Amino acid sequence: MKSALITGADRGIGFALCRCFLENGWQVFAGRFMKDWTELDELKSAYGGRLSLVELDVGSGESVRRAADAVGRQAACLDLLVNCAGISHCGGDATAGCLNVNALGPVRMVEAFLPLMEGGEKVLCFVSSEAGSITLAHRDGGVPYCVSKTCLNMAVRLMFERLQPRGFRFRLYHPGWVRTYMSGHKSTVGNFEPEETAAVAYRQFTSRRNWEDVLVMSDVSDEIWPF
Amino acid sequence: MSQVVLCVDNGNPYMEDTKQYLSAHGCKLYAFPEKGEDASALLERIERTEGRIDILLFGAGGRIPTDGAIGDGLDCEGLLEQISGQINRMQEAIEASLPLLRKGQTKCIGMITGRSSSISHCRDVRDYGRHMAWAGMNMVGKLYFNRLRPEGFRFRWYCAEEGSGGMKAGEYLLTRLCYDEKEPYIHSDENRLVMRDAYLREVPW
Repeated sequence: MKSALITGADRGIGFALCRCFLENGWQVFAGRFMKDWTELDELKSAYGGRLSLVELDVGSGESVRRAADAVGRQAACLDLLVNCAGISHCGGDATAGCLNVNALGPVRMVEAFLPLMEGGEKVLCFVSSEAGSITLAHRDGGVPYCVSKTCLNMAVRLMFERLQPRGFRFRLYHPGWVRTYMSGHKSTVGNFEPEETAAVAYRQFTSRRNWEDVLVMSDVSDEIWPF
Repeated sequence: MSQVVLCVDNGNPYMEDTKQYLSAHGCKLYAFPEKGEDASALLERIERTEGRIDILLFGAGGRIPTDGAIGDGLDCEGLLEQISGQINRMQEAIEASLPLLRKGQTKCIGMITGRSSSISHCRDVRDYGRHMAWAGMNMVGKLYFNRLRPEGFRFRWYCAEEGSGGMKAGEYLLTRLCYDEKEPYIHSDENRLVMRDAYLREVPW
């Protein structure tokens, strides 16, 4: 059975992705940040042993290392990693806060899980955003979030250059404007429900391309975005 | 009239050459304070003596000593401090300088960066902090371009490289790009934020 770990799995796109992978027969490790949010418990009741809940704060190196140890005790290898955890705002130094979770979180995750992934299918997936595209940026503010996604895209480029020649496949995904919980509560505006974009993401993450040596940011409409 | 240039250096190896060039071409240079220091005294002095800033020039930072590659044990906490520090400093410098830039002759914001700040072009495998900070600063530039271009601000993003040929950063900063107010927005080079190398080749973002 193939295995996937999904960060930010409590709700929104991460949760919808967990359900998608489970419905398709995968062993899923769900990165759980919010202990009080119960949707994952309900999913666990439905799928039992195929879903493992892993406490995970991608903004903490210690938490990420503990999660890697926990997964390593349960599985010989990990096939696919989805970096989905993200925030759009935070208190204090907002730039540092967004960078820590959105850009350096995935770097920590890949760093910690790389040894486990070497024996698997080697698929690294990142949920980014059009907000990180410098070419098409239309905003005139919102530095912390936009910069964090640009920095994520650059980090993925550096990982790609090192790991793609070693057989890793990369997926960089812009989920579209989704009615998520990014602002703290379920948004009532947006073009897609989390389940809709998760279905497209699942297809893109698990299918092969003839051009795996090209790094692209693809979206929910299967269109490609410039950096 | 000589141009008043405020330089915000993060340890870019090409900044010194550029300052020398600008100085030799009649520009009057000021240095933005180091991270954590108050810029208000400097800006008051510039306002008193010059009354304006014409060019705000950034130098993207050099290599971070503790930086590395994926799988080699990256110090993400250290990188976070470096990246957010450079991004925040850039934003603070722009915001603090805006009142004087608005009074300037050229209202120019410039950046000396490198080809490897381009996510499309970069083929490097290491130095996460430097690359992420560079790419992040490019995004900051684009967001301010969107905000300030309608006020007539000009932006010059320059990729410095080893070698003696081509146009230097200082020359590019002082060069005018075609702009005709009467022409539709998309028909003017000044109305795009582009990154160019010494031979004025566009480097994709």
